[in-house]
Amino acid sequence: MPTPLLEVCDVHKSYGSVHALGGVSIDCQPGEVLGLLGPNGAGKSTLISIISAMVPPDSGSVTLNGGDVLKDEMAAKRVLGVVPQDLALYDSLTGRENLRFFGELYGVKPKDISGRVEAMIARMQLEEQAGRRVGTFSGGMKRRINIGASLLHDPPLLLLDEPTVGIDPQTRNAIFDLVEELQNEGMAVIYTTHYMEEAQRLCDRIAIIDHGKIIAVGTIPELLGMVTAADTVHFDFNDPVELDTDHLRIAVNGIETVTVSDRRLTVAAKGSEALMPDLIGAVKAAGLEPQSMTIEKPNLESVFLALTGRQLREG
Amino acid sequence: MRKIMCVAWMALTEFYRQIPGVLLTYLAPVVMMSIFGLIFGGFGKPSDGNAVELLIVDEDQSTASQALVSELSSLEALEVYTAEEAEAELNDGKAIDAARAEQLVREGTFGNTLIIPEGFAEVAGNVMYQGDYQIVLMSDSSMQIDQAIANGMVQKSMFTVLGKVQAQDGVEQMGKRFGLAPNVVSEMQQWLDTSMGMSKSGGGGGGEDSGDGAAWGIGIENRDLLGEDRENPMLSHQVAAWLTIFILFTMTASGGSLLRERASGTLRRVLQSPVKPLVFLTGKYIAFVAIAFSQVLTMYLAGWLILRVDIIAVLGQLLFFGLLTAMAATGFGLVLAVICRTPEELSGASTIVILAMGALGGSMFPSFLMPETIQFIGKLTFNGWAMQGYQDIFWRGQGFGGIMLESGVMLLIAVVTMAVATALFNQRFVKAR
Repeated sequence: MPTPLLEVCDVHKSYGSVHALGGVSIDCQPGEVLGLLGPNGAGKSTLISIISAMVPPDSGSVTLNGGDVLKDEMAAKRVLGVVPQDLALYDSLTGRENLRFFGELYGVKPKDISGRVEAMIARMQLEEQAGRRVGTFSGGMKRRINIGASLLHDPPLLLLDEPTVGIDPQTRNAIFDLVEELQNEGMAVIYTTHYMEEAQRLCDRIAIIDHGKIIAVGTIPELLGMVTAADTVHFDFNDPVELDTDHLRIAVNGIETVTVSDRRLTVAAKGSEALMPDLIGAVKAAGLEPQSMTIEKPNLESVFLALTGRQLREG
Repeated sequence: MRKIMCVAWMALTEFYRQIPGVLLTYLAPVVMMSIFGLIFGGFGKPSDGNAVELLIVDEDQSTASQALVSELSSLEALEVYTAEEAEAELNDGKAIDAARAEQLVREGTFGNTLIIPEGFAEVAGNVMYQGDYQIVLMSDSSMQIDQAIANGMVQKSMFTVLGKVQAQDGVEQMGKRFGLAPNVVSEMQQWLDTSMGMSKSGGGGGGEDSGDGAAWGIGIENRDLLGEDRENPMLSHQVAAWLTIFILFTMTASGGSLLRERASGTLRRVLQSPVKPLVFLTGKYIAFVAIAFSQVLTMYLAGWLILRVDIIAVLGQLLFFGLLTAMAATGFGLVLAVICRTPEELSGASTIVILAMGALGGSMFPSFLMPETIQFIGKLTFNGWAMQGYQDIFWRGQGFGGIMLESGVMLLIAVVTMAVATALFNQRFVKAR
């Protein structure tokens, strides 16, 4: 087992009577993309703040690159790149000046700074715009500079805090590509999001956090295996559906639930592929002629629902 | 150090790219100073009922000179100190002669001094006197109105006293020449006493002539001790006044960048990097002091070019005191910024505080026009000390030694406010993140 780049052990944090984190323990290996998935207010940002030495925990420990974050705050900050959710840039400085400023703050050597800034501008595909003030940038361009400013010192661990909030699909895809590139280069990434699609696409492992606690950690198959979620099969019709749902449930063995809503019939069943011939036959036997059919496999949303009893985006 | 300078560079770049802010910083105070300089360029207002200080050194010690002292002492517009009274007041064991009296005015202990040289009685009693004997009125011309009042009162009293003395002398001479009986001469002198005494309330020949005057052959030499080479004290007052007000506005506005950075998330981002809060704040402080000092220099330059205020003769002191003023104002602005929660709150609070300090500290109205209580309160403000320092430089022509007290206070304000700002920044911006 390799030494984790980041190790968070039993971290507690309260703000007055509000328990933001209650015994959180996670780790992140070098080169790994770890997703931190949870609804708004789950404790993701507090955890990020503690990892980045911005907020001290009430108890517990955080070890980063072998050093204790609580004992040597500056050393921890030097090996971290933090991309805040907000577009935290100086609008009256140009894109190039913003990169240079943050590079200097992170201690990039004077002889290297110009080269690194230009390389980052090229990487972010902002060669033509880098000389303009950030205040004149589009949201997508700002987002790219926002990320670039955290990479100039080539940190082994990058914290990306909800990087895709409020951006267009093109920029979102560009960010996905960048995260994958960084991973290929050996950089570890902690990616916080409440979009399960992003977590599913990018993350090697996912930690699901809710009410300040990690309720599950693992690869996607491992997480899906934790719950016995059923597949969901939707039949859509031209006309409103009239059906004896009990009859259908009895007719096909393995069906868990049947619901009818106007022109849609929804059936929940484990291993739906195997049941499909019988299910279609039973529907037709009931005098119904479906126009279309879709099968939804269990996903992180299902996992979250199963573990918490709530939808992920209910917050 | 590199990170401090990096933060300072960022703050300066941010500031100078905001064109409206730059115009407000450099153009607005120059415009205000110029307008008020023109308004106050040629006149002043009467004193607000405060008696004008006049230290009298009577070197003649004659009946005639004592009559003049007595006459001046009887005037409500003046607060007269004889040398003996002043010695008792100062209680420093030093006798007050003409030279010491002049020094006391230069130091600002007294506003005016009147020297009555020996020979006053002799020329006062000579109706036909045409010589060059003069009494000397020396003034602190930064108090232009007090100077005019003192001059007018001295001229008025001279007319009163000399008229009486010379009339008495004339009757005596006439008695001798025409062989009048002594009782007749005495009666005539008593009649003159009565009629001249009545003339005391008659207004006499005073006036507001600030140039040299003369009363019945005796000249009054007016000496402007502090601004001999300067054209108008109110002009340099305008430079100092608008400088001390606008520098505070600029610094609170600059300090407000901390609030904007907190709101935009850039402050948090900076603090997430390996930069200590004190390093960040020091970088900001250096940038703001540079901005404030450049504003001070702009005001000096504009005062010199537009209002013809002489800054060359006291340039060293102005640069030294200007830098300290910039440091104190920067600290003050940072304190105000870190106390407030939003830029809007800062804007409102700073307007009230700065205008109040400006009014109490003598930036809006010369402090000598204010009641003593207000003058004392003014001394508790940044403006009060800054204005006094500039007055010492511009009008007393004080060297570095002469502005040590004001400089020390400015430095103290700078150190204390920076310490308070740092503590509040850590408490309200860093720990509360």
